[in-house]
Amino acid sequence: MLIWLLLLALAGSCAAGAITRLAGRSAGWVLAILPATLFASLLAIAPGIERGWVIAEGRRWAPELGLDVTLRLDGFSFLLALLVTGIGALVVIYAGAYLNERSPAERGRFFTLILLFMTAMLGAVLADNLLLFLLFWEATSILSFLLIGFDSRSARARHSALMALHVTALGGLALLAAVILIGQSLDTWSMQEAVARSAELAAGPNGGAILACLMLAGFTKSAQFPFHFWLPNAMLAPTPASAYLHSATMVKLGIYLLSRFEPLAAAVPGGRPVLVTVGCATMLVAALQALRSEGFKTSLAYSTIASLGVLVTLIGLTGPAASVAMVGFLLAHALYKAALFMCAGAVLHATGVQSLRALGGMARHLPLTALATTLASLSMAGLPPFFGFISKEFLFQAQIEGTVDWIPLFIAVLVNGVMVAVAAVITLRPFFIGGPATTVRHGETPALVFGAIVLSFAGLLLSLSPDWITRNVLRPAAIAVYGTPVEVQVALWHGMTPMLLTSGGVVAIGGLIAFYWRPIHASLRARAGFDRLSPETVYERLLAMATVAGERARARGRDRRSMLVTVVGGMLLLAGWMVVSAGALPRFPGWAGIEAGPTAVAAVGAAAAVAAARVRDPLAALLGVGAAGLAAAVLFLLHGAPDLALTQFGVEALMTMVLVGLLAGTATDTGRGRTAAEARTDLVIAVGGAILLFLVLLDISAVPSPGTTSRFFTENALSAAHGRNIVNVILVDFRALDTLGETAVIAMSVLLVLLLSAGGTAGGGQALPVAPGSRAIAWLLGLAALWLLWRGHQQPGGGFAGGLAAGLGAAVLAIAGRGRAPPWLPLAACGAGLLLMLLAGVPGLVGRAAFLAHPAPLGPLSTTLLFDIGVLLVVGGAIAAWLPRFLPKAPA
Amino acid sequence: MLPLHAAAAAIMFGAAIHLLLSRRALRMVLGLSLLATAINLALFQTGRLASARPPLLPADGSPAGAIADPVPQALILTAIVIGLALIVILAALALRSGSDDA
Repeated sequence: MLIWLLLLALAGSCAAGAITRLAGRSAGWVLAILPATLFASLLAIAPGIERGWVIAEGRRWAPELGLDVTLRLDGFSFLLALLVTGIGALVVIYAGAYLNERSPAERGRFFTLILLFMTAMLGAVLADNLLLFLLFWEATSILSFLLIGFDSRSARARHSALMALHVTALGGLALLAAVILIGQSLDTWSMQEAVARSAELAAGPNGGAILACLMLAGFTKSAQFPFHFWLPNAMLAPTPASAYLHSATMVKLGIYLLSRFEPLAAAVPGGRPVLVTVGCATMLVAALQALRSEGFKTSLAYSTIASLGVLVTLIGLTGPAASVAMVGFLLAHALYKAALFMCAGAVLHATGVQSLRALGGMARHLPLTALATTLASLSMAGLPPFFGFISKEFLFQAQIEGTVDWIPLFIAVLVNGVMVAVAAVITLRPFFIGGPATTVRHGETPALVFGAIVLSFAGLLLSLSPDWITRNVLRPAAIAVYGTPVEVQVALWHGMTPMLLTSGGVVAIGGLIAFYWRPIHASLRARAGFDRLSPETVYERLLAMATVAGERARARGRDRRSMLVTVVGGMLLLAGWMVVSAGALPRFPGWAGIEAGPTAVAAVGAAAAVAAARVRDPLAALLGVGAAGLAAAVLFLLHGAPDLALTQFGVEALMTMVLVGLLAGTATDTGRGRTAAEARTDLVIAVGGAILLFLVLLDISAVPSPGTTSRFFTENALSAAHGRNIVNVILVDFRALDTLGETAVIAMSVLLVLLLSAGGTAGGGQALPVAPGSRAIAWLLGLAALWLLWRGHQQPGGGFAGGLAAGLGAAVLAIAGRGRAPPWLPLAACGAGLLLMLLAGVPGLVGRAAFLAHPAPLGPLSTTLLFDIGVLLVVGGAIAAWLPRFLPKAPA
Repeated sequence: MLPLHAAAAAIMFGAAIHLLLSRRALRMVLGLSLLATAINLALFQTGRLASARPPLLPADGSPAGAIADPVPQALILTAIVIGLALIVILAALALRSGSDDA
């Protein structure tokens, strides 16, 4: 069931672009059906979750790699999945209104990205296989990058997107390392099992390293100090993305990871204190920055960072109360912060003004937005009767009952006071204080306020009637996080408790800060030290240094010869070192079986190669290389490889045509020659390489081949594959999947060549003296192609040789300027060939349940023939597509 | 026979590297083409040139005596064609950069 939810989400995201175009203005409402459906399907599971059931399911994907699609839904995943889909639906509706001035193409792109993000996020919280989790985790990073840089023409947006990607990708690498270390240590890829065996992990040699990597991943993703700076910059994303990714869901993924692995943090000495310290540092830095920030969205971003710091601190604390508080606060924060972001976006959309100081009196123009902001802010300030109040009570309870001393408590009180102040400032200033200073471009639209109203009222209703959410969501989530059953009592009034007194203190501090906001804000802004000493400055310095270093390396490598000398020489040195360090002298195979014929051919080939390297005239060099290739073909023929000889002859002919075309096309060869010193270096490298290869080949030849693979193919070719040409049997049957891949490479090269020469030299050839009779030659070659194909399974031949023959036929026609095929035909042949090869593999799925396992043939016909026809079509089509690009242009 | 063939492949390999280190685009392409030939020959010798008889089975399925090793042949066969594809791409690239300079 879970996997179907994921597949539905993926399919829906892929269709989002088309649906946007069809649905026009109402695309947001239409597309919201997808997340809403997912939300409803999840709600239907709630009764099971309430009873503590865990839904687990798995499909094999790549078992050799340990990569299986194993999904697991427990209480904590359930909470996050509900947030992802529920807020997702509201955000999609909101985005439909927010992006109403963009072109349909841009809107389609945004919807696709945001729904893909939802899919990735859903996958991440459902995944149990750690590799799968990593895959989804990285997908959220990349989609976040694309959404922050959505306005790709803005340099600032691009810069911020890259910053976010750098930081979160660093965490992704750390997560990869952690996952691999876990897999190595425990021999399992299951997250649940890894968490259950935390004590074993911690006792092992890699326990500390694993925890450090997991923390790095969680801290970067959830914007903890000192990696927090990417989040305020991410506010350049369109507001729907900020509300969804950068407050409600994606930044919670790091929290999710850390709280899953809380048992490991508890087992490794120093794990919990690190979490508490980082969380508190994040809270403090973010609270100060929230008071400094001028923009509506920026101050929300810093308050989000502070809240994430609270969550990390709670993970670091011991006791069941901490787990309950973490779960409750996560839910409360997601509700009110997403609502506040939507309100900020609505104000921004209506006025075009970002700065808090420039806004005023908006309640008159945007009454519903003002209402939603007020409700959400009251929840954020933690005032009764809102859900934020309940979660704050839990927070203080956890701290008072926890084992950590009073410093974190003090910081939490202070930071919560700042949150109260921020809530007051962002509500009162833009909406209720000040005259009609700000002019609005438009009023409210239903889609623009719907999400904020729903979320802010949810914050009120959930606390007034907490029964359902407690039974179905909070208690199962807290149990999943804490590991053993915990009691969760949600009520607005617990009596006069220490928590209530603390809350009172918080409100008092908050009120004071809000009252003196202007002087505090001004004096904090005046301190330049915040900017000079911030981690963001360090990041910018590092980036600048890397850019300069890269620029220098590029300038040095501009001469490609010196680069090549380094690379080739280095590779040879490395290979030589490997030979020497093996410590053995090369063995010698003996001179047995010298024959005059092959010796002469080998000598001609070697001489031609040396000549090609020595002559200055490019045409002569070309002929030398061609002669060496032909010598190789003859050697193949003399040593029992007629298939290779056929192929090599065909390729040599085609290669010569291509290279002559290149020679004609680049008549003015501009590169300067080598100096005497360079020539000496090159000679040393070339001779050294030759000697190295010679010694290696001698050593290989001195010992007989084990031949087990060859023996298997020889013994089974006829009985299992019904073919007598073993080479062809290997290509189309035993190793058909390899051949499919190699043929796909050839087909792709066609696309590359067409792209490279688009609008270039596709002039077509001038008539050459071969023109008379060229049609007859082409027909003969075509017949030869069919004949080679037909006999290929039993005798020398096959799809590759046939394809080369067919390609040669097309080449002859092209050179003669005759019978030019329509340009789409070669491409269509390539495509049809690939399709045919794929289809040839399907019957095997039915019979022996393996792709490309060919069933027994019906007489001379079999799926191997179909497969070989595919090879022929791809190779022939590729040649017919390439060649016209290299023919000299007809004189105008 | 093997030492001589090893020498031929090695000499081609050296000549190919020398061509590759040139500054001229055409010679680099030629070098890569020759490199492919040399390496295919080297790969061919891992079959130890066991026999001059092609790896074809008679009608009864079991060869009477030694035949050439089919495995290197199957490897080389696709390598030859892919080598052609590579050269064609490089040639298109060289052609393009040549026409851009002009």
